[in-house]
Amino acid sequence: MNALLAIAIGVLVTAGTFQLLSRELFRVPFGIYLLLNASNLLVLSMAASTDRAAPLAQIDRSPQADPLVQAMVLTAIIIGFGISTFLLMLTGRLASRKGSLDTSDMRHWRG
Amino acid sequence: MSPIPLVAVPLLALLGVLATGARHRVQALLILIAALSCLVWTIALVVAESVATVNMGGWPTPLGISLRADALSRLFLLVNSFVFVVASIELTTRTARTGDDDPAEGPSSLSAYPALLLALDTMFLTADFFDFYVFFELMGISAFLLVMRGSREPLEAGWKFAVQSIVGSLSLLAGVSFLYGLTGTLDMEGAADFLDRSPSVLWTASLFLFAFLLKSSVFPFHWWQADAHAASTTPGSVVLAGAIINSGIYGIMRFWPLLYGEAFGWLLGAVGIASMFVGALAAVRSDDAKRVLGYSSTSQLGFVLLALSWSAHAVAAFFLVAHAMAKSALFLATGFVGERFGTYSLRGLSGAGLRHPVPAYTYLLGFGSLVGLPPTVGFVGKVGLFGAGLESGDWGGLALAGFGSLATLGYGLRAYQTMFMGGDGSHPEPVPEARARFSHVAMVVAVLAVVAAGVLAEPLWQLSEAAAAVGVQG
Repeated sequence: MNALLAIAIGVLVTAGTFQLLSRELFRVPFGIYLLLNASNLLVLSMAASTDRAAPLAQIDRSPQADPLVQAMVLTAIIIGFGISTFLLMLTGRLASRKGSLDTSDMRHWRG
Repeated sequence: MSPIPLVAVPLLALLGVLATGARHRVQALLILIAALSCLVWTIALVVAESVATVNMGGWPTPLGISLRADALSRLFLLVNSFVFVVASIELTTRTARTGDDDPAEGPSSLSAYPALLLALDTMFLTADFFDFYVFFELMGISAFLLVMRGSREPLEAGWKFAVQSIVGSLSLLAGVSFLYGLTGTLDMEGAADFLDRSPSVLWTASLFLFAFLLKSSVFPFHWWQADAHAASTTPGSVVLAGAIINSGIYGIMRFWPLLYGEAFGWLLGAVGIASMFVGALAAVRSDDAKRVLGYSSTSQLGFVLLALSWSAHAVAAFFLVAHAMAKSALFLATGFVGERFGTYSLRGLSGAGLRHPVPAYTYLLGFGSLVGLPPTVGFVGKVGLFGAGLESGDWGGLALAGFGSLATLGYGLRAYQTMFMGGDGSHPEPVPEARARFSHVAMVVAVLAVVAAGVLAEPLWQLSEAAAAVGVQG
């Protein structure tokens, strides 16, 4: 199960990075969104870490999941939702302003 | 003494700004009052020298989030408040005369300023590293809104800034979650006990460092900064260079024991030296006055990273404060001249200072501080930097820091001569409708602070040393 999660995170990061480097404008926020999902899965996977003490109190010896991670991942999801919405809207404004969907046309500022 | 007013006052100012729609005069006044109150409270905290702690919700530290104003936080809060006061004075004087600060493509309210003040204050105060990530994100979003208020292609510059910054934030989220997975606690002080030098800790450290280096805009992650400065308004640039960039260095200093900073000393030194020269060379080549200052920030933060690589935290913190103050003065002078004559091109502005002595002297003292001339605060910073280099025995780094200072003189002198001393004997024509808009108050405050902090540097130096002691021990 842990291996499946790690592989899923890897696939998402790969796909997200690939989209981030795309020439078409709207693939970039989708790449960000994939990377965001990968990071949230990463946070969630920290609940499976077995080589440390229990967070608040050791009640019994059976393997338990960590509830604090759920709170962290909720926060991260909400922040990511706000950011990706904002970036999508910004991309739309930029596309209508420049009249183009090609990132090679966004050359006014060249870094 | 509680640190709560530093969080509550900007929050109230943010609500006030959002409630007043597009009435910029009222909003600028609200922001000025909030910034001044935060500065006064921060000075009171610094003078009291107490580690003011507040546990949110009454939960004790390992269980809940606490806000703690230790020496490292106090230093960064001080420079943050000062920069916001200067920027809000500039905003107030602009909106008082014309009712608006700059034609805007972004939001119609000045909400980015109090949101940034809130995010930065809480980020410097929090003792919980997931809370740090949350306010790092809030700072990032407010920074995008800030940059998009300009009048020169702000959407494109803001979009590029946003994409790069979000990638950095995701790296920080991954790093924070790894750190939690390794230590089982979210408390910055308690987490150091659970770490050892295993490969997963070094991966975590790399993720954190990537996020902080991107935010500090050093080579090779500096691509967003010149565009962001060129596109944004003058008070926006002041806040960007004087407050937002500091958060990256704050992160490196705050997480130093958790990230085994000594292990990355070579990397910080290499990145620092590369930034020094890449920033200086790009600044010399650039024709746009604000881009010169943007690349100059890259170069100056290279010096800060070099000091961190020598484990000279006090010098690094002091140098950062000196840079923030000098850069505020420089951006204010550049903004005055640029908008008065309707262009930011260095060739187009040739001779602009011959009839405007106040911005000219501000610029001279500002870049004198960057180079390290007495009696400015940058002189004390440079003396400290070279002293730390001699102590560490890194002769190569020290020599390169010397060449870096000469390079700073190179681009600063070129910009000053071209803009203010009439390089080719021509005078630019002032833009008629811009005649009434600008005042000298903010830049005079900034440059007086640069000189005063240079002459009376001892209290600031002691605060930097206290901050360094906290940073190294965690």
